Amino acid sequence: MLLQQVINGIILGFIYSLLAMGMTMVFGITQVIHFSHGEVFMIGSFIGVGVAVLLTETGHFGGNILWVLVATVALAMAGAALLGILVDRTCYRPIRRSPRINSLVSAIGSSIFIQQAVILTLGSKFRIFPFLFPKGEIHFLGSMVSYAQIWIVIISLFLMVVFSIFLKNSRMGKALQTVAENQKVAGLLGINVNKFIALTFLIVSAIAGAAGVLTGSYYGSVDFFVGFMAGLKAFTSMILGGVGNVTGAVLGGLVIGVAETLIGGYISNDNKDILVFLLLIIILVFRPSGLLGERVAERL
Amino acid sequence: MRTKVLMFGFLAVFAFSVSASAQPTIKIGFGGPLSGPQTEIGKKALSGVQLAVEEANAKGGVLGKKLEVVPADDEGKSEGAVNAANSLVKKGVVGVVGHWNSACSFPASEIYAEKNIAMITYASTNPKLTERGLKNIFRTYGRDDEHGRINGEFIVNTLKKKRVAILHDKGAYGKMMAEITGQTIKKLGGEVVIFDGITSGEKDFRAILTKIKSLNPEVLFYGGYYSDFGLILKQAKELGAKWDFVSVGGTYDPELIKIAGEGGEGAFIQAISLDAVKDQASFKRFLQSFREKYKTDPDLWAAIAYENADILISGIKKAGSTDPQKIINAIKGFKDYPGTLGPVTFNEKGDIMAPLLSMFQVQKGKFVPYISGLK
Amino acid sequence: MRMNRSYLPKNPLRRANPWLLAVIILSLIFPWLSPEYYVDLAFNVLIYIILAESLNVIIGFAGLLNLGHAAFFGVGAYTYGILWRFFQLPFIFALPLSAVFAAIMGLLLGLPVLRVRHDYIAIVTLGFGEVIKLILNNWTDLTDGPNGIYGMAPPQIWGFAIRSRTQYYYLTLLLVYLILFLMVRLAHSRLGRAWIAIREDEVSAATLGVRVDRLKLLAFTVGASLAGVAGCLMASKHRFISPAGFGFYESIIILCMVIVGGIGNIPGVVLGASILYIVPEILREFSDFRMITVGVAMITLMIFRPEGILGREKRKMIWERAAKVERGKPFS
Repeated sequence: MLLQQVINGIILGFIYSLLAMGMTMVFGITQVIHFSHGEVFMIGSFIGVGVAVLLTETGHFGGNILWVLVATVALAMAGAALLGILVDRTCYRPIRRSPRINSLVSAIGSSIFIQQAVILTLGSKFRIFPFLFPKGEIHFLGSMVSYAQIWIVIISLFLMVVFSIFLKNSRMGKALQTVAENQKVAGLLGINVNKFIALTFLIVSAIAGAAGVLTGSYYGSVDFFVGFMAGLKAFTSMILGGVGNVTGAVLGGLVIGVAETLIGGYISNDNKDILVFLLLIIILVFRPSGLLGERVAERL
Repeated sequence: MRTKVLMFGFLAVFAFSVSASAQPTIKIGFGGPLSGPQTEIGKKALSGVQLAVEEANAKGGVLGKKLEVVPADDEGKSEGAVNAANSLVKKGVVGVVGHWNSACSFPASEIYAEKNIAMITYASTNPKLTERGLKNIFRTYGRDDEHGRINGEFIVNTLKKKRVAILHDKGAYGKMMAEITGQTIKKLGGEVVIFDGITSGEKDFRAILTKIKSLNPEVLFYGGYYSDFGLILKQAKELGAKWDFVSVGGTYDPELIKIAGEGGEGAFIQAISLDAVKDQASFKRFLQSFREKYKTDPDLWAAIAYENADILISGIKKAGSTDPQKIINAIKGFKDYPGTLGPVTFNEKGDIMAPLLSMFQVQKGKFVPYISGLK
Repeated sequence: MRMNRSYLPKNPLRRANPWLLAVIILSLIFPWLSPEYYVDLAFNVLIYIILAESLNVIIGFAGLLNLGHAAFFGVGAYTYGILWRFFQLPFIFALPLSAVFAAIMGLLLGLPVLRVRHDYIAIVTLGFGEVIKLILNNWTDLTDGPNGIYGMAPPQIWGFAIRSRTQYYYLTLLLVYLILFLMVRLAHSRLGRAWIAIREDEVSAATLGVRVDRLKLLAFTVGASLAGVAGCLMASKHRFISPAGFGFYESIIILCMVIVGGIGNIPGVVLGASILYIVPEILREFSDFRMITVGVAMITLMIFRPEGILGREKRKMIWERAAKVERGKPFS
């Protein structure tokens, strides 16, 4: 059973990692906790549901599931990216220079707003998400991994690797890192800080959108509340790994996913959240900068 | 300047304090969740009450006056229920159909009790509701301890299974059902191999399901609502579980089958269901009127709330007055009142005698009655 | 040289303020003029005023964003509930105990908050709030879990039982005035100034000798214990408590009350709490839109009026001064 639980946890962890990556990137650059990242993820899955249902019902792509998956992910990424930029433009940018507590409050407000807007327009009922992965599973050593799970890992890794290469090797990526280090200096160097922040939101929101499609299809249903829960787990992962640290976020996500699953499976599912929170606190007490350390310019 | 604004603020509140209340109509209150996650349920129930009132008005009203429905949103929370109850009392209702959550019915019933206003709940199942000595509470849905006992007996005596895993959603309804079912199972010689809770709203239950799988139960019993149970069924199937599933009225919803997919096949759900009464004349009449007015089918709550409103209206007629206490006495006196869903008699605690419970099974994607008339 | 205190909130107690007097008189005679429904409403408003002000101590005075404040509210309510359930402890003893237990919770939350980075405070407090709610829900032996506790007896003060709405109102009103008085005095004391120093610039405050850690803990303790008092009061009036009433949703509403009123602004928060409670009650038909309005309010207030509804001329002055210094102009 242990192996199976670890597998369960890793899959969960990858989804948290995708979200935590984005959140930590945003924090690194703007020093604001992007509370509505979970909601962007949620919108990604809603867009995904709409597209996937449309495509499967009208029989586009001749029923070739993987193409439907690709199209759904692409459109969800686009929609989510747009939303992310919009949130930045309306809720964060106007108060970039204000005390951080203001941005935090505005972030919370944006999260509530998006969630409520979905309830009011799309209703509080679950939407059924078509299954877009190949069916079947592999059995080994008494455990099993489904093809869906394997695909989720592949796609997640793909997104992470692309993102990482972009950050380290491209001109834009390097400019992003400069902005993260020191906004003022970056501005002096001729970098349009606001544009780059918007770019960050675009990228992380697109990733969140993709995660939304993967999650929606994997669990088979989508509702307005997933953003809140996923967002919480993402924050926790981000903090665990060290804010601003993208590798840390990935690690944090995996740790939280596996820890949560193991605690739920071995100790108590009832009290799982309490124990995970305690775990976070304990780790922070011993390593206040998170597991892999922070990467944020200290704003004194 | 600031204090001036404060001052005006308080004056504004004060101004609202002047209230006029004329009563040209007889007001019937409705308490339920009209906002928040259970809005759909509240609205459906309200539609049932409104239909009943409309029909009564079409027949000339009661005691020469028209009836009016006064809805009050309790937001599904006990605090909201207090506000809702107070607002209904202030508006002068003579009886209330409500509430949905037991957590709401508890405090609301106390407020109504102060003025001896009858409260007929269409869904609150916490046994303690009618055990407090309050004389104004009625319920037509039944109680958790009975439902739980019936569940336990079904599993051990009918399905003949002994090893049961029990999960709940940590909510008042789900947990209580789980506990009582578990107690019944143990009393009948069965074994509860695990008793644990899930967090409603989380999507991934593989951790606990994998653990349960390793314990090899014969049955999984779940106390909670359809959205989580649907996911549990789906994921259990994906994990290759071969148990029987038994659950409660909160999961009885077509959405369950949609969410669970193939995993739902064969699951047993105990519920009060309209399917058991669909051939009754009184129900058919209700169904037709509902369809005419709302162009859609009623759900369970709409039907029960309609029945409750009907009982209340008849209570007013029988009492011959709008004195709330007389209405309570009138309702208490009903013997085999021809309700929409069957004959209604209340015992002195206000509980309905002989609620109509059935056990359904999901077969080929539909709920099919398996055993009707469980006691 | 006279200290320039123009940036501090004006102390309304310093001058006899006719408007203040009018408000006080009005609040005293209010119950005789209004039907019961409004007295109940007023009681709830008063509870939320206490709650919002208690959060105001934590956010407004010490500058720590607490997203789990409803937990303290819950601890206070449940202290009374649990003590009643097992010992039938009368209200008069439960009230101070609620304050104490809530204060201990505040301390417990404050400790990890000290250790973590400033930006994590939001998440840690959020997590804490959810964890407390979970514990209340799962520790069935103590709390009877999600079923809640009910039937707490009304308060008996020196043999005089408080039963009617009006009596509850006056009791709570008394407490509100006491607390507001306390807060105004705090704001103008050395302690209050030290808190404001921590809020504005923690590092400078520390270099000037302010014991930052201790005062942060104190802020949490005081804020939590006031919230606990509110919880105990509410539990005794509604006579039914369950974990569902003390979650994230409630914490956000209380937060919004503070935001609307103005962080650190004592009379503002009174107004903020009143508005945020009464307006949704009046607009019951639009209850669907309640939360979305909260979200929009939070965003727009932060962008257009972060000082809150009542505004704060003095606060603007600080930023303007700082901006002038940045631009190299003489400090004037």
